[in-house]
Amino acid sequence: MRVSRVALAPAFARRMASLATAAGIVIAVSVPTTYYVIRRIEESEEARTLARQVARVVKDVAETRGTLWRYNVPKIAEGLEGFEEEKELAKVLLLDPRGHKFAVQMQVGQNRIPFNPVWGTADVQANNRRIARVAVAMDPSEIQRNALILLAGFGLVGWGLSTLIYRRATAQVERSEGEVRTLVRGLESARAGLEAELVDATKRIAILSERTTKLLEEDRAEIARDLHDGVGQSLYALKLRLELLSDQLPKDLQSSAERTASLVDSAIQEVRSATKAMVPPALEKLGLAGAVRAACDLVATSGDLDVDLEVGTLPDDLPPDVASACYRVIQEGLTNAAKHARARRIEVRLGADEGILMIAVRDDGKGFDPARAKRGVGLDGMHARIEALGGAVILQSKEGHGTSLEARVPMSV
Amino acid sequence: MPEGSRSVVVRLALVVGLPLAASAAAISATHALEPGDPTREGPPDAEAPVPKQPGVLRIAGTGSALPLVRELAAEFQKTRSGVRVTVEPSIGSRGGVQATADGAVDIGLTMRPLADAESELGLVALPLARSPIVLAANRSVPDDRIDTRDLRDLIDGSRPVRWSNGHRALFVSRERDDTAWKVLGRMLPIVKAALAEAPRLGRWRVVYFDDDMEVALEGTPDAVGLHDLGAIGIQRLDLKVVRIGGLDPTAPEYPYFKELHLLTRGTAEGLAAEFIALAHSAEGRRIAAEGGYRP
Repeated sequence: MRVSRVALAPAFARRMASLATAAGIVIAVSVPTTYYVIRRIEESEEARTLARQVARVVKDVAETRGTLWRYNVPKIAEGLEGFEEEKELAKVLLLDPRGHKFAVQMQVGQNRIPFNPVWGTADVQANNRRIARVAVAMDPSEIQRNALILLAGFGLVGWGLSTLIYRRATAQVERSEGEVRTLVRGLESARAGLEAELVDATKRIAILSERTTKLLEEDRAEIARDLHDGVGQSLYALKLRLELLSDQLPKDLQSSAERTASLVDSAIQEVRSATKAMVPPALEKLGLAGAVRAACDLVATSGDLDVDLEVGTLPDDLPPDVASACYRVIQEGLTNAAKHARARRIEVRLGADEGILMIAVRDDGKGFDPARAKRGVGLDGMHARIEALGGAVILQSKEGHGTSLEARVPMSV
Repeated sequence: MPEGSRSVVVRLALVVGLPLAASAAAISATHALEPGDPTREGPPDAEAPVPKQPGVLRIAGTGSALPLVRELAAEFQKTRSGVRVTVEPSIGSRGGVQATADGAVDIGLTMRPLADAESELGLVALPLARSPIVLAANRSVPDDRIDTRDLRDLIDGSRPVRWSNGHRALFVSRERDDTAWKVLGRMLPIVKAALAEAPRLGRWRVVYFDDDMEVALEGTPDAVGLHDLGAIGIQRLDLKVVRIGGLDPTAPEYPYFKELHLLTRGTAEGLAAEFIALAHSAEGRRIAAEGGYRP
């Protein structure tokens, strides 16, 4: 993770802006809406109450004043003097049961029907008959005005609170982000230090590995020489003496001497084999290209495989340790392809370019899953040899699709 | 539109739209739950023209004229077999005008001249009689007169007014639009404001019909209220008259009257014309005069 990727504040600010806006709008509209709804309900109830009061008066008049009771409506209005105190009373209408207005109406309240009034109605039952309906219209303008005032007030409060919430929250996140940035910087610095230490350690390991390899090669070469020059020569001399001695022995002992010479001969062959194993003789005699070609021929003939070798131009002054490491890697690759992968065809490429020695061994064998495969001594040895020289090994394989082994080694090591 | 911008637009639409939509829904639901406009276009059933019944004369209007009209109606029916005069309960002068204009009655009754707007309805007003406006009192009231200042103080309640027997005087008020107190207020400016304010202040009981006033005065000891001499006399009510400032309502110079009128829609015809003729006849004037009415 890079410090530049730590960008919590903008994303948080975007989300917080939505939340703060929603909170502000909720605060702004909830109180005026609640006020408006409650006051309309109250006003509606008040209108119903007034309508019922008027209906009771109308009922009394209708039951005592005969069939022309409706002409007493102006007097009924006089009886509603107290209604003048109802500032929001806009109009009282006397209707027939179907809602048609009587010609004579009351002159109470504002005596006008406002826009979007709050209506309240009550039926007039007189002498067990529904004779009229009283409708009271209340003026909602004060409710609307107060709701708008509340909307303006709580709009400001909502805006202020949402701004406060937004700023405080984003400032806190920005502070936290700053702390995270500082922490990440510290971690990155620590990581860089650890990486530098790792590189140093790797270099040291490479140097040590190189030295170890050189010492091993030298020791092996010395042992091989000792075996060849010492034990080998002694055994060879012993064999010659036995052959000379055999001619001088009686017939019955000659066969025994010949068997002994044969045993010495076997010992000589074993010493030679051991010597060959310790020092790549082909590499020493034939150089890298020749040794690789010989190894390929050996695998091709012994395993009945088709081995395709291409060798590019190689420098004459190839460092011995580089040549040895590459030879061993190719040898390991060929062995694995022939023994484990059951390949039918192997491609081997060897070349150099711009100071880098490049090798590749590819087969058409059964392949394997590198992630699940156990790293054996051979593979680990390959990696160790190449990485000790500052190079790299790339192993690619997939079950059923063969294996590709590539290595690049700097020749200047 | 880029994905990010669309997301911002959707979020904004949600955070702004949802609260506003909820608010609008609450307001709409409130409106939906309220009763809507209950009015319908068209004339009410009750005001359909009433077909005239042969042999029936319908009369309605101010309660002040009803006692005299009932007496005249009785006399009218005596000489006309098969004729029935229906005198409806009081509907006030305004109601009388409207009912006559609507054709709901054959003759309307008012205790005031027609207003200009009412004259335009094609109504004809004929004088019936005049009745002196008096301060009528319960029979328990011991006094025969009251000073105008006492009357003012009684009505506006600024000072308790007591009768000579020490009982506190009570007042029964008419509605603010009543003609009687308007006439009296014109004549006695000192009590005009008090009379005008009485119904609103609610200090005294307010009645809206003459018959209610009669019941209230007869049934309330120590009470006084405005009424007219003709109604008291012709109905033989158990009330006494208290003279205001010593003025005798039976004296020819007495200035405070209700002017009773008969109303017809156009020129009276048939039974209505006959009834009006009776009211204006010598017999009619005699009946009125015996009750205390004046021509």
